[in-house]
Amino acid sequence: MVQMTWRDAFLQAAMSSWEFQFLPTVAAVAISALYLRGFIGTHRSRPDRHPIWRAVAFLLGVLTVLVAICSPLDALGGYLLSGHMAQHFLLLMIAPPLLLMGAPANPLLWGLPASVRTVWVGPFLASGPVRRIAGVLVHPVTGWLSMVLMTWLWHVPVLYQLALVDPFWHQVEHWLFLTSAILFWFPVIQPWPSRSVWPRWAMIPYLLTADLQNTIFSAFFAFSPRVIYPVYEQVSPALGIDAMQDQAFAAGLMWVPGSIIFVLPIAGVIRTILRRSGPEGQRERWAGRRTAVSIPLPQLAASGAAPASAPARARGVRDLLRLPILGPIMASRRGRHALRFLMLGLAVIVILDGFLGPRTSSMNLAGVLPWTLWRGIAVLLLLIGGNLLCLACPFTLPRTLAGRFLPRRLAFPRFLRTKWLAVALVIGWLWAYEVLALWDSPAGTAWVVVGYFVAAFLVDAFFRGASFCKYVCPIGQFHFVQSMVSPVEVAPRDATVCAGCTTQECLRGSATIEGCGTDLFLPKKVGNGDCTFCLDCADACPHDNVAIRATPLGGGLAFEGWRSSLGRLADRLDWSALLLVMVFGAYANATGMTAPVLEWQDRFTAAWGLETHALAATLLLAVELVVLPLLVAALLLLCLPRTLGSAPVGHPVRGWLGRAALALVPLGVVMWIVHYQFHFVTSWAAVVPITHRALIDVGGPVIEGLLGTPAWSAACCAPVPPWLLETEIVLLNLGFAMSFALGFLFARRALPGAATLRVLLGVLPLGLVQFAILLWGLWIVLQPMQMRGTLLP
Amino acid sequence: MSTFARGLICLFVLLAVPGSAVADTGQLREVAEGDGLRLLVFTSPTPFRAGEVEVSVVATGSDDGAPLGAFDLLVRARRADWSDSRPSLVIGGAPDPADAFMRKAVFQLDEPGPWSFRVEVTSGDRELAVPLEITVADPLPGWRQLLPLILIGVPIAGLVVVRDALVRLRAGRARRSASISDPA
Repeated sequence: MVQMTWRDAFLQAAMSSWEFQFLPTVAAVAISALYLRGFIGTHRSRPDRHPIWRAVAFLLGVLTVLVAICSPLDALGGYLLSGHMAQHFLLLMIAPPLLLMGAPANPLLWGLPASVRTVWVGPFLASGPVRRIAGVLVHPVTGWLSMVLMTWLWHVPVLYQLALVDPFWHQVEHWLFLTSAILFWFPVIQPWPSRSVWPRWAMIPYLLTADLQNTIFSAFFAFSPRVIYPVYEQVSPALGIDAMQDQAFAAGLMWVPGSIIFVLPIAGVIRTILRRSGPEGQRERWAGRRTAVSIPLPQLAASGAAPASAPARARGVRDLLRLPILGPIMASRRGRHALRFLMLGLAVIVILDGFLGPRTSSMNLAGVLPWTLWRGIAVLLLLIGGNLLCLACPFTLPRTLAGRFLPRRLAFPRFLRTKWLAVALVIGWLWAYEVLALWDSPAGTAWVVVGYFVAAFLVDAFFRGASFCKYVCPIGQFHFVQSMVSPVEVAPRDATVCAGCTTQECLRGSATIEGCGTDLFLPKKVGNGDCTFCLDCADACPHDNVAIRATPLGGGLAFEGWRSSLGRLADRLDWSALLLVMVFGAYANATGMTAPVLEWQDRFTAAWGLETHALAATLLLAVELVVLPLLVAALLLLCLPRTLGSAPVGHPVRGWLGRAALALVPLGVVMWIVHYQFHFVTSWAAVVPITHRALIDVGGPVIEGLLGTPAWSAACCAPVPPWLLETEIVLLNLGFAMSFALGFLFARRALPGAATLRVLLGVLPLGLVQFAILLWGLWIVLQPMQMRGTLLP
Repeated sequence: MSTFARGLICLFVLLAVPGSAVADTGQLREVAEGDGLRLLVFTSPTPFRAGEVEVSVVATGSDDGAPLGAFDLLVRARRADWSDSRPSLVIGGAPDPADAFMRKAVFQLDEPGPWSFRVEVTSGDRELAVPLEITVADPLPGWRQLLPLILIGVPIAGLVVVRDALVRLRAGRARRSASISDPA
């Protein structure tokens, strides 16, 4: 082995120690995106207040935070005090001023979705007590004391070494440094549109006294006769660095550059004071005052309406059909057919490989394409883009075929025009998946796909409209329910155009184009229930007035009024049952792959002398999908009418069950996401060797000669990334918070004049059920998981 | 109080997550020198608990302190009360992507109690072994390690209630001021 020089080896090791941890990196990207989204609007409306350099400063600030915590400095901090001090220097002296120079208040606020800004953030920002607390926080005295206190406190040897050995306290230390430094630099930068509570000249002693304490602090390190932190006494020499020298260097780092950072703004303050004292400054000040009166500040009231002065982009309604490339494809009938044929091609591949390929699921496209890739992508797409998956559904092609050759005159039987059939089929689907181990049976999966095509053709060959989608298809029901949380739906572009329309082609169709197959009348449609995003309405509308646009998050779930084709959702027992089965199905499906449950099934099967797990799995599913939902429904029907009184609209008692079911939907959605993302993240790479194998099967030795043999190691149990569990826990909690918020909203509507505590007590039974489901989900994600869709070791 | 100050609250909340830097080293257990090598042995978690544990080693030349570019790490672990017939656990070390100075051995120690470790480092023809005696504490349940995150939804749900109280407070004030200005 060639020995490198000390300096080379040290630098190489240091420079390669980058670790972009998932949560900080995602948070930095999210904050930057939020800021930029808002900044585009604020820059357009007030370019004088939000020039481009402010955005640059803010992004540099975010980058500095990332560099401090993800770069080699973090690793070096464990060995060298100077490395750790450099990290602190960035978090205390560099990042906060840069962030504040970005004047982030308005861009961050306007970067939030309008509904979040006005309905959720608005009341907090408009609240007197919150404003008073914020006023205290950004007061110069608070800022000065907090940063000085944090600096001295965390450098006490006991606390410093605690942070060095314990990741949790290291996180706390960095968070406190950053926040206290933001408070310190706030009155110095005085970012727009804040106003100074002290005269500007007061910043000179403010900064000078801070510099003085920094000098004392640094001198303490520089002139200390011993190594202050014992750990470095042992660690630093191992790297060939004297701990005392390192300590002196760290002191110099805080002392000299620190002093420069403290003193530099004083020059700026003096310049501002001098400029303002002159006649030109007077004019500028008066002009500024006049301008300040007309500043388009966001009106953060509890109302949902955006103020007239809102930046243009923040008010704009996005239409996915106007997106470049994807928009025209979705808007065009041929484009949608092309997507469906693409999916049909994939379905054919699944069928062929399922019947003809290897019987091991994790080596077969029928094992991995539907159960690992498609589900993982589907749950995210349903959340982000609404029910776009049904738009590309290949099972609608039989309907198109049937419509061309068969009369399709029959109406779907009246007694089946509910969701009960779908509820039974969804339960059957979940049962078959678990008990028949569809995920482990390529041939079984292929039969399911074939059966799906046959069923879709038979139903749609005889019955009008999209009867299969609306009343039968379990996958469609899954999509309807999951996409109810999505902030994207098919809706009129302009409601006034619909008000003036008398022909209603979107519902009834025209001479050449069918109207809505699921009987949804667009102006009265709310949420994504029963909407397949087929966009037949868009084809039929003579006014080109159909959009796929953003709506308030959860708005479709919170709506209590009458919906086209669905009626009042909360009053429909069939819908309530469907929602409950989907929610409990999410948890039942995930529970089935946890190690303790599989062990219990083993024990049960052995104890009863059975050969398969079928009975154990059936019993478990019966409890999870039937008994538990019935118990919860009974409990809520018993409690909620007593604690909240009659439902404000619709059926006074039954309406509470529907509302509770709607309020549980987010908890179900997040569990489906958590479950399917687990498989996707750990097993997506399996598709590479399997496709490789399939190509060899088709092309024979020629392809094998070109591509070599499949790398099956990629199909086997990728390690679970460390960020996955944290993300799963956060998602489950967000689902719980959204569910609770929906429940609370329904309760508040029932008790409009009651005190908050009364409403909270009223909704407590539902809240406890939601909390219990959250705990169930947390238990699931903390269990060892069976790796489905992969080669087991 | 300005809009900015209000927005600052949002900023604090948003910046709370990036503060989650992780200390890399863990607890320094031993410093040893010999055969031209100098080793720093760290363990984590702190305190050392049963469950997933990590023994990390930084190896440098004892003469110049230059970090070794490549070296092999082997950790042997056995309970102090195991019989001689029972073999030790042997765990190989791997490079740590977050800290290129280190090699680390990550493994499961399911039993709390007194454990004897032997940390062996080989670099070329140089070898050094460091013995460690560590008492391993009872494991933390998984949920306690994730405590800061695990019920984060509860305070968020609490904010829903606080928001409702604030809206009611504001509406009440608006009603009162309206009735004062228009007593009729």
